[in-house]
Amino acid sequence: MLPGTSASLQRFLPISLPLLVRTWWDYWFTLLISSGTLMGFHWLAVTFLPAYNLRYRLTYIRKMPPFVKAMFGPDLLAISSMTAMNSFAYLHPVTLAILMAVAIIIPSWMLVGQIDRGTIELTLSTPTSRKKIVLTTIFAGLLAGAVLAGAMLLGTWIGIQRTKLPEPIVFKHIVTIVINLYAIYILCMSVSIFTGAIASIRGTAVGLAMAFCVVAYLIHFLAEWWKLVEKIAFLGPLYYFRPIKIAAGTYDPTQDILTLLGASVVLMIISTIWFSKRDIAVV
Amino acid sequence: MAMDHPIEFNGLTKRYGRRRGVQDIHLSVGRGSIYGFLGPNGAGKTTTIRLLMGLLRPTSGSARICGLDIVKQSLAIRKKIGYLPGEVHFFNHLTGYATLKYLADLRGLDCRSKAEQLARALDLDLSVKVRAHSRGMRQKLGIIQAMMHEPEVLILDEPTNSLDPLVQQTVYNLLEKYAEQGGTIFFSSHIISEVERICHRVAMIRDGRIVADDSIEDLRAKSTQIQHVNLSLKPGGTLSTPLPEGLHILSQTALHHHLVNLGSAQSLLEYLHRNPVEYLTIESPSLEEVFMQFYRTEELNHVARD
Repeated sequence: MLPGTSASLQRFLPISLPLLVRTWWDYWFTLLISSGTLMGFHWLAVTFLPAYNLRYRLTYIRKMPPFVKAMFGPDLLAISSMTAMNSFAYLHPVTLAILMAVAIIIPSWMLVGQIDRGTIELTLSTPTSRKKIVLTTIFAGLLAGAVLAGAMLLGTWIGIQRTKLPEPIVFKHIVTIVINLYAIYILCMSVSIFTGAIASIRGTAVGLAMAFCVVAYLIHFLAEWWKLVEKIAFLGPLYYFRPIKIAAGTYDPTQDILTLLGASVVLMIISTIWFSKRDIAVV
Repeated sequence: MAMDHPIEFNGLTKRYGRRRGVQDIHLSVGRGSIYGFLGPNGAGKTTTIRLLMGLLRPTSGSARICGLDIVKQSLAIRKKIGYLPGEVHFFNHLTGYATLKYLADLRGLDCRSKAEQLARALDLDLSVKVRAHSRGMRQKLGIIQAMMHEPEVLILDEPTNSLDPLVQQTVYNLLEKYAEQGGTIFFSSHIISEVERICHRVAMIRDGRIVADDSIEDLRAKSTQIQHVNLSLKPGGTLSTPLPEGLHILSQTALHHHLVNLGSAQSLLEYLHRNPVEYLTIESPSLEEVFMQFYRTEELNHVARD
């Protein structure tokens, strides 16, 4: 028996420790590779900063092709500091793709993945409630996201320590950006939990969650081009992520973070209720 | 009531939209008994078991295990039961031992000694990874995980699937010993001989409905009320008519006749005495044939009309 997982302790805890440990053993390598990649990417992002003079950089940005500008959102021209330049890395497709992938993979493994593989029948033959399975999934997802967020911050911090920068990077602004990005991650994870709670096939759940992420990115991208999409841009999660403005120190993202977390909590509650009441038929 | 009958169904019904699931199931399983739940594939056995396990929600009706409602008190029920699914799936990269440890941890119990004892009885090496297991080995592991925490009630969906006859015998012995110690077993199967071999009582399901619920002794008694008669007549002889009530011709050639008698033995003997019988055998059907009768009601009605 696992240390400290007596029946009484398990009854007290809102999550299932054995299920959490099982997930950890299945995904530690994926998480290691993902967080290592993010850490390295953000370290490199800082390392390359001094290669560009700020004035040259602004000229360069103005000359960027429009679709590249659109990738980075409406605040691109607000870049006025080294910190703002570094915040680019947190909007970069590499960062977003890795975060979204982890946000989708782990929850789908723990909910619909168990139905798809058939192992849910044995899990649910033990005194483990469905609510506990969803809460464990949420906890595992949050933990994985925290590891990724920590890896990004660590990468940036190491980069700052090891690079001679022409002007300092305000690390507390970077921390705020990462917290905001973590809230985006939580929303994507909640979407994955929702699709995992309603679907019976993992491919379907992953496909739906990925479609959400792609649509979210497209809304963010197309809003720069298309007035119609600009009007509905508030529906995309990236609308609530303004790293360049945060880096400039002129923007308080508290409301954005609360909006993202509010939507996540609603999705998590719906997922928990749905998963608790649905029929589970393993084929 | 719950003390005497740990499993009780009260009009349990499950529909999938317009599709049939199971309909109005009323059953009662006595403590210390092995209850066979018999039916062909697709009859509704697994649906019924999944309803009991709380995996499916009933459309109407209810069921109780150890006096607890399967919907409202599912968690409390799961502490008291062991379950083997019809198709058991494990984490392929885990060893048998790690699989059992994980499931024991989910229960917050240390089941090591009982699990090892069961593994020895079933001759299963727990150090082998599940991905290297044959179907039979997986089934053994499934049986161990269902029994290792010594539950009050065992719910087994076709437990001897993929097991060779020797291991089947071991499983029967384990189940009989468990029932002798007061455990209750609800046991689904489509193999009549194994139900006859170990069950005390049997229910039969067809098209989602219970069509029979009887003790094995009563079914055996019923089987002796039917006689299959094979006879050859002397050359030139013919069967006299009319046939007595309850006697029906199933098939015949010029000399050989196969009849089934659902009437009294006395009237059969009197009828045979009036005919030029040269060779005769009279057999009661096996229990298997009695079971099959429930599935061939239409056919028998047709024979009776002829």
